[in-house]
Amino acid sequence: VIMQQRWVIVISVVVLIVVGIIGAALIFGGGDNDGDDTNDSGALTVTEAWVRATVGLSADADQVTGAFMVIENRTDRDETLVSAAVDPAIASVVEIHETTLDDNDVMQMRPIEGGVVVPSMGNLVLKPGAYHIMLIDVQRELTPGDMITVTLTFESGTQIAVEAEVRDLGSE
Amino acid sequence: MRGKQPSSPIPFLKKVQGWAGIRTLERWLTFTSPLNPLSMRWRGDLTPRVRFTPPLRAWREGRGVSRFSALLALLILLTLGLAACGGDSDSDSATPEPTLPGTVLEPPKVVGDFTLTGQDGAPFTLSDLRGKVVVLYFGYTSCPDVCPTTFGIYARTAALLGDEADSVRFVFISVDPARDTPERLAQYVTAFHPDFLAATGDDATLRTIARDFGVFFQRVDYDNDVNYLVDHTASSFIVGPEGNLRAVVPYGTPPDALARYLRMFVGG
Repeated sequence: VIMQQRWVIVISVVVLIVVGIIGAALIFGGGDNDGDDTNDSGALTVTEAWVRATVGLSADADQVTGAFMVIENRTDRDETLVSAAVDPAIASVVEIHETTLDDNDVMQMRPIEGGVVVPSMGNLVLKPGAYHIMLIDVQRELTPGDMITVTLTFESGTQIAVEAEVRDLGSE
Repeated sequence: MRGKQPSSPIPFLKKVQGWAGIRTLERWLTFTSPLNPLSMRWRGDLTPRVRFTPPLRAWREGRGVSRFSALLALLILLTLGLAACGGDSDSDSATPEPTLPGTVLEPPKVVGDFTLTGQDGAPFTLSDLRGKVVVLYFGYTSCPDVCPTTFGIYARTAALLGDEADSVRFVFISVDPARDTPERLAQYVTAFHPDFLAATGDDATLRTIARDFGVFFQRVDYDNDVNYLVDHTASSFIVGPEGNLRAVVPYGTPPDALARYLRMFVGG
């Protein structure tokens, strides 16, 4: 009888460890698999592309807005986003900018020199408060629901044309 | 029992059976656990059949086997602890009052009154809003990024406040008067919410206000003929109904947290 109960305990301890390890893996590793299903392996893809709507377009004021997206790199080498373009009838100048906030909550926005790296098997998120594609001298009012084609050029020569939806002015 | 190895009911465990670490641990569990239905103590058998060494002493005494069992016990405790923490953080979002980001000024800071030009072209004076909680934001409309994001948050905050939004005014102060005419400001802020206000003025007036509130702004020209940038503080400044600066809230504070701040100051 004693031998049997020993084994019950040994087995339950082993089960406990296994369950604990699986649990820890679920808690800490849960985010790693996100997006795996939605991407072709070995490709550079863009998702969640959007452009902020504009208001108050007038001839004397230089209207600007931002384009935001997630660029995923499932290839085995780093890619560098060097430029972006839109139809000149939408905006005459397009730049890639980075926004930073310092410890005093002071916002600085600067054009990127030499491009932004999209790491191999990683992604680059363009979002408010980080990187964005800056559309300058916007030629017409962009209203929610419009679709705008943004062409991204990478250092390797790869070009991707992205359909970005215009979203409400206050989108995050 | 000590001299004789019990045989395993599962062939694989025959190897494990000789694994003294597990055996030590298992003896320890068997003997100590009051909840274990197989526990000797539970069964009223209080005579330990094996000598139990507490994990810490086992570690100090440094026999490899004891060290291993101590490590194993530690591993299990850690895993359970981490699992418990993981569960806790899930329930955190449901707890009613998480800490608010930002700074409440106690005592409130006295700030000077000021007059700018409002979005209708008429003078805009801060003291005209006495009795209302005023949220001031210093930015510029040619900002694609943090300014519209913040005003999107303000619009959602106003919706959360419901009727109490009547006691609050959201004001966009442009630090880029060269481009932000009153007409442009009017179109800009009312696109977020019909009741939002905007104002701007000459550089000297804006500098005085900025010094008072602790706001930084600076025009930045760069290699571009059609555009320039403006660095600026991205925080929200909350002025109480009595006209003093009550709180400074950082960029990105979500609508629910901002609404809690504003409710705190409405009515005093």
